[in-house]
Amino acid sequence: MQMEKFYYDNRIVRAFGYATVIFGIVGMLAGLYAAVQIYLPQISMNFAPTTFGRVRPLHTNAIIFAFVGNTIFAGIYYSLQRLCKARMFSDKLSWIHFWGWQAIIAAAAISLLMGKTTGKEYAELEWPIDIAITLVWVVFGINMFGTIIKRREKHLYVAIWFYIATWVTVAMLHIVNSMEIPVSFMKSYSWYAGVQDALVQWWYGHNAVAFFLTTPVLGLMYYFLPKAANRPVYSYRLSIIHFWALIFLYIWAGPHHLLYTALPDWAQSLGVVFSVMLIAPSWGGMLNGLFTLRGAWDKVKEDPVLKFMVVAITCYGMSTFEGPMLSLKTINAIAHYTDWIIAHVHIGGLGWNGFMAFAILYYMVPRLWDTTLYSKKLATNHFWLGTIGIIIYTVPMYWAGFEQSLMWKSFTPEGQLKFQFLETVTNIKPLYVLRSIGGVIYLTGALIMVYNLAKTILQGTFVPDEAAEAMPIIKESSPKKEYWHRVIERKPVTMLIISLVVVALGGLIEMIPTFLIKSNIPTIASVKPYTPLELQGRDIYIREGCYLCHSQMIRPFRDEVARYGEYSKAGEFIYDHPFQWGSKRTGPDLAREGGKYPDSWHYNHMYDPRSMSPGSIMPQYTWLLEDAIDTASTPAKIRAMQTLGVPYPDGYDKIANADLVKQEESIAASLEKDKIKTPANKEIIALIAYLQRIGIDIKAEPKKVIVADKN
Amino acid sequence: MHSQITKRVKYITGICSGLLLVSIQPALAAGPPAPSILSNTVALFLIALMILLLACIAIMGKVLLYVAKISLHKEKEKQKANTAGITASIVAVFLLFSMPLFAQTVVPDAGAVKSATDASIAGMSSEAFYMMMSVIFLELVIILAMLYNMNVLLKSETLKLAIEKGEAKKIPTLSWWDRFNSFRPAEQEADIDLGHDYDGIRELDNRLPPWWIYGFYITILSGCIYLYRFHVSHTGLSNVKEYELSVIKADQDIKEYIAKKGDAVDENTVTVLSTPDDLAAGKTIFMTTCIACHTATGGGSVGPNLTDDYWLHGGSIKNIFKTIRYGVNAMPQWQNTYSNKQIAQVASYVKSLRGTNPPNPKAPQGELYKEEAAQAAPVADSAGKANKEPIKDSLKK
Repeated sequence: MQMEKFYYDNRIVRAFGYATVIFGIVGMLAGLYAAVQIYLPQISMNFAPTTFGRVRPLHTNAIIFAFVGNTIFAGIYYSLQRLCKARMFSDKLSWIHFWGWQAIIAAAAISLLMGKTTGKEYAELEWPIDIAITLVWVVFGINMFGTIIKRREKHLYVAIWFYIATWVTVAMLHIVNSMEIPVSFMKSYSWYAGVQDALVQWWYGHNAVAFFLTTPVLGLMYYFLPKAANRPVYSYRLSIIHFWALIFLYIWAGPHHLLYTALPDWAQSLGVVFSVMLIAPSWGGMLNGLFTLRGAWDKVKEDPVLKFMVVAITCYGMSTFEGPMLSLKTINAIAHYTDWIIAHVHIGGLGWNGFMAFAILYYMVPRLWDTTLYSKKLATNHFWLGTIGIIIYTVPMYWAGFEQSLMWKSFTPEGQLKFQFLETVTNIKPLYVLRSIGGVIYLTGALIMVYNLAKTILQGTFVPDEAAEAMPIIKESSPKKEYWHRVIERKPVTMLIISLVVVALGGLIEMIPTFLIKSNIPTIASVKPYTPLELQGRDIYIREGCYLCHSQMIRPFRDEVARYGEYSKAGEFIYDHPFQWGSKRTGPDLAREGGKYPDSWHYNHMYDPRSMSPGSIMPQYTWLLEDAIDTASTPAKIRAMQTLGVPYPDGYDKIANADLVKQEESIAASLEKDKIKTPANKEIIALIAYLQRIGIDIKAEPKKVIVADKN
Repeated sequence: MHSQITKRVKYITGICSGLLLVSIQPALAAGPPAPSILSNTVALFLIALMILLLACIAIMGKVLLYVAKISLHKEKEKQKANTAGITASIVAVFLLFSMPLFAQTVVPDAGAVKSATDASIAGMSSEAFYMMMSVIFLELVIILAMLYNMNVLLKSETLKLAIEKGEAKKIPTLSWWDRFNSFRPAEQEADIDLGHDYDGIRELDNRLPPWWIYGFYITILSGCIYLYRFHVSHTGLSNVKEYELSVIKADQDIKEYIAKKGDAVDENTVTVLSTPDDLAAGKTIFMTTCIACHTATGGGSVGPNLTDDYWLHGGSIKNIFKTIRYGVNAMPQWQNTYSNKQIAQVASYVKSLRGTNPPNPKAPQGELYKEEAAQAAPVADSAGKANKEPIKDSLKK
């Protein structure tokens, strides 16, 4: 048998590497801009695309799918070729993948700023982009599996197990959660409604964290850490156990985002217990990483790559312990809807994902350009700035979350809420300022990295095709007996199928009963579909990203019922495509907003929130007063809703606009009584109609109807 | 010889933990079926303690096994014939300490029979209590035995080391951290190299850190207990139950507080307050809460003019108090935000605005109110709750 000579494709790695750096900086800048808007709402400049509700999804999508996404692809294209001892399956597919993904990012950035959103967190992109993502993901899959099939290494290394599980699970999550019915180009409604939509969305949202931000990055850790430290992986056994346990258990934990909501209690309990069981499998990855460094800690002092990795893995360990703790109901009752969660995700985002990305870049760039890093000192400075940035970012946010939650829950001895919502916000403003300073420090570190990498690139020569050689796999006529897992490691397709089965279980067991068993969502007779004007208003609510700061889910707590009204019931949301429960209360809950304030209050409040609530941090929405409602879209929207099972009468799409005009005029008339003169066809009118409708249907219901909740 | 002894030690440890499980079983069996036990904090604490001690025993067992192995290894090296002696002594020690196991499993049963009719202890049946206490005692005895055993082995080791100073370096030193994680000494790395090579990455076959794997088991176990409590025995409260209880408790607390304080004001007893302190307090609240709709002068914009003689929901102090407290239509309710005292202060401040004739007032709304007429008017018209129908009712389908 002869050694075969071949070449690794470094060009594609370089391309994804550049994209990582560019979108990392863009994503962080968007985050910083959003962070400053929280205490300086004026800097949205009264311009729709730059308001918080549109910048925030831009930030999250840019960081998750552009920054971390490109990191993953760069790392996979680099490591997969070397672990398979083969060039990528097809250069053409590699480049389709690269340009396809960047085009999706560009389309996402533009459409999100234009307010084209599905209103589901981390899945905001509209249906044409969803389809494009699916196609590009398939291209990536073919390219990856093609490479694995033509490998010259008999067994698949643990990093590749993680890549395979990532690929198959992300495909499943994306397809199931993106089921939506198109209304027009760039507008769709979620296939699911209310409680069901919430369950699917957080099954997706939680596992986007698991299978886009965790498993692929763990795979990268398994390649780059032993390479950088030149140490053997600590325990093969641990790899096997924690890999399978992790992907199996992770899927189930989604409902911990919905504790104390209208989701059935049994599903919430599954979310709790599977989160707790996740501690050990998550920590398995951390232990295998840190223990691999046994005997190499002297190198950690010297090598910035290892420094970044150690802090990244530590942050991973911290946030995967904190996550299960936050899933305990007693702690969740305090932390949910507050900045505590923001702190939690940034330990993961800035610490784990950010630092792993930096480590991988510092590792790859000198090797791709066949040189050494321009300055170790600058890299070390970057490391310290990043670490300090993380601390200054997260500590104030933990503090803010904890303090605000306690204020929300405070009562006077006479039984009154001690603080108005606004007081609890203005109280933590200084902490918001501190947080953004932490962000600036972290960003400064990243910019130093850009300089350092640029200098490194300039001093080296790029190696587009790196020569390598290896023996081809010899087909054995009678394979010798192997450890059972070694057998699976030889069979990538088997591994793919087992992974799919393992990850599909949890979702199926949680979703099927929620969809099929009626008692899970007891119906409420007085809950009616939205009027055409309210529907248009709801779409404006979604477009402006109101759900990013306002929840619509009153939990059964004494303080929330006192502050907002009767706690939310599952049956109230059956016509909500998509659900708008939200996950953060930067502003107050709106689940019972209907009828709380006069129409004119809303009108003035949208024009300038501070005129009605002095000290408010909400941005102005002046364009709503000028733009006309897009009534041409009404019939299509009604028809789409009918397809989804919303009981509008047959042929209602044709007369819907007549009803819409009638309601417009009555609201305009009510405004006029309060000395506000406005044409009736403005967007503000639709939004007021929707806000005045939220949560009032149940009030027409005699109390006894709310039954059938067995748990 | 070496492997045989290891096997034997393993065997004995197995028996010990097996017995332990058997002895726990009745306690567990006594626990779950009676829902009251799992809702008892003391019982839960005891069960948790039992599990924790069991985990300790398991970990210590591993360590002990390891120490025994090292000690045996040393013996073998020295080619001395007294290995059997040590084995015998280890076995004897183990047997010695497994004796009380039998004794203990019997005793609580006898005790339980006797005390079956006794009153409950710490909120659970006395037999369950004694059963759990004896299991914990048993576990403590085993831990002590293991500690003693370890001490003996390690002491003999150090003694020998002191004697043969020259050879001291050959024995790998293990810190508590190494033992805690079940690390192998770095020198033995070659033994556990699996021979895998992926782009130069090798893999070792290290043992799973014992605390990690037992921790995993504990989380799984607690997951099962959690689901059992909330969905089988229903001793855990559902979300809604939890809420209802909290409201009942809060209502009691408030009642007690008000009873103690003894100055409860409400819409039936409220009178116009006229002291400057009260009016100033009322004004402060008015300026933060009310001006968005009623303007700073009370002249009205979104909300009605409060300075004229026309009132939508009544102009008496009692009616104003009620409107502020419970809200009417677009007027929000403030009973959850302000105490009755504070509402009385705001209502009094509003009354004091009458006839101030602010610039640019809102046109009069509602009915003319005359001071004397309202004094006699009854207050029992249910706080506008009847007409609290949402404003846009007509717009709904």
